[in-house]
Amino acid sequence: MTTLTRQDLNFGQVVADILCEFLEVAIHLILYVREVYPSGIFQKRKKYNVPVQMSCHPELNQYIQDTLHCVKPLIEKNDAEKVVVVIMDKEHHPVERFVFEISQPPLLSISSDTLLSHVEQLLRAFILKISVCDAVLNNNPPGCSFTVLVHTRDVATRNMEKVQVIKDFPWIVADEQEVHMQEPRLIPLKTMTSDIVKMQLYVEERAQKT
Amino acid sequence: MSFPHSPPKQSDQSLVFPPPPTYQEAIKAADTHLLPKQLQPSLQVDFNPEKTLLSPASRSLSHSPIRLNGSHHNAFSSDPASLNTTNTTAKPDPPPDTSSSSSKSSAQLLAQTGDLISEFYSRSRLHQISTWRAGFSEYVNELHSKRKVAGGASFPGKERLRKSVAQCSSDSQGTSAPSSVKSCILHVDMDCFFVSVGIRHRPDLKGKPVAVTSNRGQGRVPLRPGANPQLEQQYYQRKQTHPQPEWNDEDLHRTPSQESPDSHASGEDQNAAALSMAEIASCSYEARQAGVRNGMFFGKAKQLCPSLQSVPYDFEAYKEVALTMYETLAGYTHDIEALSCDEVLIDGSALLAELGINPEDLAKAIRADIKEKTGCCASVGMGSNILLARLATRKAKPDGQYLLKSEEVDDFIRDLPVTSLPGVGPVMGRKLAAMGVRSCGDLQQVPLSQLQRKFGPRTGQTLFRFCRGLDDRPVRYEKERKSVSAEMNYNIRFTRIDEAECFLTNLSMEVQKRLQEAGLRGRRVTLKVMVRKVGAPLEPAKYGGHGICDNLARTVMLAQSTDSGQLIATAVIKLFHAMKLQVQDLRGVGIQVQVLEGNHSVPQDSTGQRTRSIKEMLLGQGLSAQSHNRGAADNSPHQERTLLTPAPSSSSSPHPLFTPEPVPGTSKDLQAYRRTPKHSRARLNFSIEVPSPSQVDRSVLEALPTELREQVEQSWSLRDGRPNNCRSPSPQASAPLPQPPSLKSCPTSPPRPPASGPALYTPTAGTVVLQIPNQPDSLGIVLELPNFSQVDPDVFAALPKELQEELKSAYNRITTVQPQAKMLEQKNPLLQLKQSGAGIGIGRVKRRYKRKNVVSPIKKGPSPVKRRHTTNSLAKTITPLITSRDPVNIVKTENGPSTSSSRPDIPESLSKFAPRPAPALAGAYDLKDIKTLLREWVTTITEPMEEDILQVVKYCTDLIEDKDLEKLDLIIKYMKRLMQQSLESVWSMAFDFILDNVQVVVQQAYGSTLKIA
Repeated sequence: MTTLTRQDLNFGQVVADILCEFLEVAIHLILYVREVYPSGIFQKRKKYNVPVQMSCHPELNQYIQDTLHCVKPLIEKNDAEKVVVVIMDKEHHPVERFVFEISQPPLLSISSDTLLSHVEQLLRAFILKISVCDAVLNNNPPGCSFTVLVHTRDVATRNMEKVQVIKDFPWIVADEQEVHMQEPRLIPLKTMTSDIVKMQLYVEERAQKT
Repeated sequence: MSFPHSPPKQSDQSLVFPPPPTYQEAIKAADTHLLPKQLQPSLQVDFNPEKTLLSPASRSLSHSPIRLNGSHHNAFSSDPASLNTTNTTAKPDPPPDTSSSSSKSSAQLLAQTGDLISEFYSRSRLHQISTWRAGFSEYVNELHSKRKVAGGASFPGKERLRKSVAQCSSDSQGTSAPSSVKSCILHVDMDCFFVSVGIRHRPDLKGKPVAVTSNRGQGRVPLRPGANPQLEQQYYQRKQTHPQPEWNDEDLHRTPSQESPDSHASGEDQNAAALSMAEIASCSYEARQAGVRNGMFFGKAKQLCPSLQSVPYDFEAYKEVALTMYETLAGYTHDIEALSCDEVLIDGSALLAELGINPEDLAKAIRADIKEKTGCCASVGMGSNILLARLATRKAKPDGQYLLKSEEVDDFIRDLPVTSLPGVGPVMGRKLAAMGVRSCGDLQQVPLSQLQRKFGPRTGQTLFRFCRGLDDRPVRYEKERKSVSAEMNYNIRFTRIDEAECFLTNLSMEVQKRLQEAGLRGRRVTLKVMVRKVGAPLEPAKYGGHGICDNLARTVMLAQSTDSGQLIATAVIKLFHAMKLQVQDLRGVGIQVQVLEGNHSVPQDSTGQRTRSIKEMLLGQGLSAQSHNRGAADNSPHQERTLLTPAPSSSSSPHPLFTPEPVPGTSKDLQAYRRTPKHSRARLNFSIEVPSPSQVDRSVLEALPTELREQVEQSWSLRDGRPNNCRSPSPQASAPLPQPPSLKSCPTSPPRPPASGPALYTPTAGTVVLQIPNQPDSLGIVLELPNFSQVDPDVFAALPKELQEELKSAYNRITTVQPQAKMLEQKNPLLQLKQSGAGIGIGRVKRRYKRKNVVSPIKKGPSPVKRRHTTNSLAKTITPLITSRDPVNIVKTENGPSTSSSRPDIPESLSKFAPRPAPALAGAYDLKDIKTLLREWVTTITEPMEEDILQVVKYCTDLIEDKDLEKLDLIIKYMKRLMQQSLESVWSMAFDFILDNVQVVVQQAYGSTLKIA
């Protein structure tokens, strides 16, 4: 198998595909675990060889898919620094932020892990960690909603404005209200370093949730 | 008495023996690595000045102390020394022989390599000597058990001494009042044992420079084609003058010429090539004055001291004299620790108190006694502990005695060079010298933390104590073997892979023999190989020697303790293939079995000591080959007994009846055996030779020789860097989930029949919950806890309230989870039930196993959970069984928030292969290392130093920069537990300081602070 390197066109795509797939699973699971939506809309599926919960609400799924579709080009170019799933209370003040901090490992190559099974194992660990994160978090107030934020590097936003990946689904700059959290508490969940991506997940939680 | 067979009588005295391995190795390291708990193996084995030249690495492993030698060479006859006289004739059947082997069938090969090995071991004299230590240890053990049986023993020496004392005191009216010696250790060491024995009956040689060696010519031999001694010498020289920091290279330090450092400095390199490479086993004090040293090549020694006389080996005599010496000493006391055939430690405290004499008199009596009975001189060093006794022996030699009084210790030790401390070999000596430390006095100035940083927590502490003359090792007359191994690094030349396989099989059989002789069974199998270093000459300077090599080691944990050569062979062959080596480059092979079980003190009794596991019993057929050797008749009644053992009795012991007899009481063993199922799970995942870092019992790893440990760690990083390419993400590949062992997962032992699982599992009073974690594999399908109906209510009621609540909530969860699981199974038959515990269930399972991993680094101190109990003053209510860690798992299982503090270590190991330098604390970057370091720091020091605290803060900051918050979180929480529970309030303050600093940095980087639950 040939060695793909940073220069290869499709390398970024490979990474972005893997990550977006993972993020989709993770977002569904977060919504389930944090009880943002009633558990009735979730179905059990298997991903990374572990059971996960996936919503079967078409509109929600579409929203998540669209969002990730827009995130993908950013990840491809290594422009996305963080992908954040924000859970907000009724007043749209964030109570929890699930932050996926993404960076490139210093030595990019997938030559040593051609089947990416190692990466899969690491991602599975993330999923399992999300499944049990309720143990370390306080309960959320009722009536929460969620949104997805992306922290970009440098001037990536300018390009984003030019290219709309999906029609009528543009990125908007987040309100200060959505970003700022009072007395955030940081709970690290998982860190991975693989050949293709370095990622860590932590949760920021508002000290007083109610 | 269980001495090894006596070596074959040497019929032809003029036969020239090939160079022996350096003696002390052969004698001391040999096939038993006795690893004292608190010390590195190398710390224990050498002490004498004449031995300190050996590098520690050489003793600890890999390079076999045993080489093909002795009369075996009659057949091989191209021995450098004998080339003069005999031309190379037919080589009968060495497997390495390239010319003849290619056409051999593997059956022939098997037979031939088998012959080679058994011939080697049965005829190699040095090997015999090397086994003597074990023999003498057993002799001492025997004395003890005999005394127990007989209800007393006769001590002729003691009685004699008593009489003479009585006489004396009646004469002098008790002027020599018993000195108030609290503890007195005597170190008895024969003076140049091999020489004195060799010249016992040759008074003409007394007072002359004499060396025991195999070469008796002029010390010159013709150069063999293909060998390149100059290159090897240059290599060794380079190594010597430019010590490399990496251990890898230091492995190579142990070479023959290393022991004769000046051999290449003389500008006689051309000549040196032709000098005899026969090593000097021992030389007299006269020869030492001329600069001759033990281990030096004879050719070189002859140059230094032309009048040097050589004396042949006389193994029978050595054995006879050694035995006489032991018998003599046993006439005084049985508190004897056999160090080697000529070196003994005696705990004289009781004896002195009883007789009311002072140590000097005792030493005098012993020396006179030995001199009279053996005709050889012995020196005796005395001190209040082992270290001081051994140091005193240096001063006592030759033929003297020295009592190191406690008031002299400080002055005495201050001026000693550090290299005279046991365990400080040339490598560590150089490292210390680089720190500006030459004498023990210098070393006393170095703070403990610095030593620990530099040499690791354990070695650092040992150094710290040793240089102050402190040593708390007891004289251990009953020794537990830590490993059994067989190695060969002489004349290993394979051409085909099946030759190597056959060789491994036969070597395994040799290991089997030794295990059975010692009545032991082991679980951890290590394959050690020496591979020709790239670029090294094809033929080493020494005929049949291994030349410059890389040492590699791979370890596998068997599912079951075994003494079966077949099982061991299967395991090592697998390891061997996994190493993907060029068979042609193999120069040495060794198999070592560790994690031993079995009753060592009754070694020859084949029935009583071996408990067959039920599994083996059920599989009787498959394993019968193994039991054949010991007699099937003997086994069957015993097996029956195992089966019939009533459950209640087994429940009263800490280990359930289906375990392969771990030594009770030692948590290490318990833990080791509990790791099995986990390990088999891991192998599903990685197809590895070495268990993943998180699964390795830290203490076992630490007890390994440094070299081996390095290699284990190396292989981890290697594996991480090169994950299994060919493994598709099969449904089995879920790491944290419990899997029943499949054939694939336990290559060396067939799976436990499922029927036995539930049967064994029937709980009885006292066993209840506590066994559960021991058997996750047999229980795979049941979630972790037994049915609530199976729990004995009495026992449940006896548990502390806290535990009760935890258990209750655990059961509540199970009931919610299980229906879900069933539903799911119906929906998706592919999804296995045990994986279907939904998010929560899985998390729980995962956490449970992770928890186990975490147990090991903290097991020496009270576990955090236990501590928490202590603070709640609940500890008293917890029964000993409960504190034996099992319920800890259960507590952890459901204890949500606190679980986060015991998060997995696996990801760290997986994420560690990045080429960028990972943040490290004092050289450690693996979570376990760091935890160990922190623990040592907090537990050994009462007041932390500021620079150390800053170091930790710096490390935490690095972690934040490295975006490894998970690890940071784990470490902070670990420190919190450690430090806040420390008795010293300074530690609490130190933690607050660290936390404040870390929070500031986290705040800067993330805009929020860590939540510390």
